[in-house]
Amino acid sequence: MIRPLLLASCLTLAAPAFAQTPPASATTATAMPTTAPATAAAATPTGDAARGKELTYTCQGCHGVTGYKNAYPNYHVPMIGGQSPQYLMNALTEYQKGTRKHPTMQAQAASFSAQDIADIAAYLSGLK
Amino acid sequence: MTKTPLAIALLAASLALAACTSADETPAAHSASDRAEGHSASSAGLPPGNAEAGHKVATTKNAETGQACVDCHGAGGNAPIDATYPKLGGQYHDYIAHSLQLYRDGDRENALMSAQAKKLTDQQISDVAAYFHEQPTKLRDLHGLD
Repeated sequence: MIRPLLLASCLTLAAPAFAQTPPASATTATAMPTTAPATAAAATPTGDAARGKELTYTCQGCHGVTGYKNAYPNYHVPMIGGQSPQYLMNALTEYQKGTRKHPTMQAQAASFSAQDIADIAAYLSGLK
Repeated sequence: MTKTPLAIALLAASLALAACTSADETPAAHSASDRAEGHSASSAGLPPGNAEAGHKVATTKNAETGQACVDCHGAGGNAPIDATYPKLGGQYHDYIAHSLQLYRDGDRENALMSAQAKKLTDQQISDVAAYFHEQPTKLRDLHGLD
């Protein structure tokens, strides 16, 4: 059970290069990776789609390439634009907690605050 | 105030180092039960899907749960009855299949989906994935956004 959290800490340390650092909440999440999932689950901030758009820059590397395939195992990375904000927030929060597993997505989610996740969900859910 | 965050950061750093050195993480995609039960572990190893057969799977109530896929995900997988449920219409077939394989084998947690997927064969997974893939979609990738 502890291993995903350790992995998250590990990834968080590696994350600063692409971590977006908004005000106070994200700093807390970055400094205390072991408590971040609980924080994310407890509060559901209102998403800001404009900010979410900026945060999704790194998502483009996989989700922005039509037909892009995940390796080992091989399958297309899902289309996520247009899913509901609740579904998207749950997915990112589960990756952050380690209850849903995917190495790249867990690494991405480890650096996000609850506000980041809400913002990303707000943006992606509004895409048509 | 300044000392606590530093202490936590140091603790996190040491935990992280410990985590990084133990490389026995097993990717969720490679499930032990999958291999043990002769199921395919990767969607790439599934038989080809038949959308027509998949339509039947998608609309037939599961013996255990009394629910069909479309009862929750809506017609064509495009009208989920709860905001936490994903839209499936037009989604990549191999991603849907991969998700069902994870649920079936206990590698992705969701009480409803685990029960739904538990008894699915590789063929049924492939068929139902093909069916939803062929439906109209409300989804898109992030290509070509301004």
